[in-house]
Amino acid sequence: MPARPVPALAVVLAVVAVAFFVLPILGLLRRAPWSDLWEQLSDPVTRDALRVSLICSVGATVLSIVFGVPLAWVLARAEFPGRRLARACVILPMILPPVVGGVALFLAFGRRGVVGQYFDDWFGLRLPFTTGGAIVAETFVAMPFLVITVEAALRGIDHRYEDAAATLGATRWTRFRRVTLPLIAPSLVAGAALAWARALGEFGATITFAGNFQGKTQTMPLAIFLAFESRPESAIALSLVLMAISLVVLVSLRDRWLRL
Amino acid sequence: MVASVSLDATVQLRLGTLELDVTIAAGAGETVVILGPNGAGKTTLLRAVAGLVPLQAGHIELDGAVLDDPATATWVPTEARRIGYVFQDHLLFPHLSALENVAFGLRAQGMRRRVARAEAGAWLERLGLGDHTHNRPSALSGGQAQRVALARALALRPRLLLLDEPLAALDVSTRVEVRRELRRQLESFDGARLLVTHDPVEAVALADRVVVIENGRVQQAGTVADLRARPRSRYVADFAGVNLYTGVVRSDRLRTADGTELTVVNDTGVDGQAFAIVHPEAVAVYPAPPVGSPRNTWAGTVGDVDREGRRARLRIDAPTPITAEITENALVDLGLRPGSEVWVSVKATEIEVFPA
Repeated sequence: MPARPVPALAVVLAVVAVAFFVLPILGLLRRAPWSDLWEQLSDPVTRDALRVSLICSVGATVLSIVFGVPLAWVLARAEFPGRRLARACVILPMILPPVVGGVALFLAFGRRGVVGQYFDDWFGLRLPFTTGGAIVAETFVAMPFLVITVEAALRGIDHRYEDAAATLGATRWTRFRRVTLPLIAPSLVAGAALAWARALGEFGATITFAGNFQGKTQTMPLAIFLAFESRPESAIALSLVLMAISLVVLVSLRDRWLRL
Repeated sequence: MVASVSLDATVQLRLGTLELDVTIAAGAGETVVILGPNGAGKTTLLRAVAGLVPLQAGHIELDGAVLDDPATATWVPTEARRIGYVFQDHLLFPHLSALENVAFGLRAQGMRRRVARAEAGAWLERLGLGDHTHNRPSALSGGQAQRVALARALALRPRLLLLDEPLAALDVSTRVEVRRELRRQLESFDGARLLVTHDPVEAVALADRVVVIENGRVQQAGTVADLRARPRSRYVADFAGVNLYTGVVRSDRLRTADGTELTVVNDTGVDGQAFAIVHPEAVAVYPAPPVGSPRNTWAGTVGDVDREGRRARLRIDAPTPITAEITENALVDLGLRPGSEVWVSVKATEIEVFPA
């Protein structure tokens, strides 16, 4: 079958749109300080930012998996009043401006927050302006990506595989571990990668809730933002690192997990 | 009759529009085929026995142990029932090899990996799948997948084996061979077997006893020979390949439900509600109104024509529809095709009546 001709106007607009996405990347590559890239990245501020980013984004991903998978399971499998409302609340952080998320987190878990004051009084646990706080802020923004991906996978698999496992004497936990989990593995990996990428790039909620302390809460996006004024070379070098990571995530998830 | 009853179940539950109320029993070493049209509740019955759907009333007992009884709040979960289940589309775990699929249940029982794998390998070998142990289900043919599913269920040495349309997912060319294999394998299993199917051929090939379920109720039960001789519903009559009419018999007259009067030979003295069966080969077909001894003649239109070897089965649409079986030669000579106007006649002596 011959392909139908595409209207010229659509082609022109599409080319403009692609250029819109490609040009910033080219700009970044052209201005990159290739000769002293390593020097830029081994600067103490930059290295602290890399370290904090790695700890916080991995921490947020782990928390997202530990709480997000059971949450997705409940949303996909359980029937209870308020399920739709619960689901809406879980998805909200995907749409909410991250800064607002940071303010809301502060009001809930801050030292004088609704819950935070008890954390402080009872356990001496303070989240704001700590690395733990940065992890919480990133989890708040990243977990929805994992939850909706895994929930969709749980709805999509044939439940009768779990029935078959039950007739073979598998307990509920064995069924989940040896049947459900392997069946949703592609989506779990994709969801975790999306959550991790989102946590890595998180800015608004982190700076509002956890502040901007070098070596404690200053993640790469924060460091890039600060360096952009004073040391643009360093900001571009860090941006290159984040872009490279995004590319790796995209390429490794393609075909197998995301079906791009 | 079977010496010891292994499964004794009365399943009563409501699921969507289905209202299931079925009592069923099966002895050790016996294959009970549950036959019925789609949507009759056959699969739900198996799922209830396996504990995948709870009963609302009734009871399920296996070898004297109560598995489910809402009246006494007794409930044994599926994983503790020791009931093997071969699902309709096999449901082999797609992420595990054939060997790991068979070893799954053994591992779940706490058997060590090496021992479980060795035993699973022996099962696959026994079922002629020694060359396919490391294949994923997607690399197996339908017949092979069916045997892996059977091995997976049998490896746990269940007391009862449930098979849901075990051959439905296979193409016609392999079905005959797999059915023969299945029969052999079922005979070597010493527990009770419940096999669900909507295919009469499967029932004839595999059943010790047949239970016909329609609309969630047992319509008729017995051996294949019983059902053939005395069908009590249209579905069973189709299964037996005979024409069935219901109506009222008074001396030698049968008035059918649609108002047609047929002359019958009523030498057993049936009186009142009755069934009448006519074998298709006893139906004569004419291109014009026949003259002669047959008492029962009527006009109709040829519907479907099925050829089977040298014979042809004609569905003849009329106020009293009937299926006739004639030779291929007769079909050609009379020039019959769907839409042809014909006359049929049945001798009174060929109509067998029995009380409803």
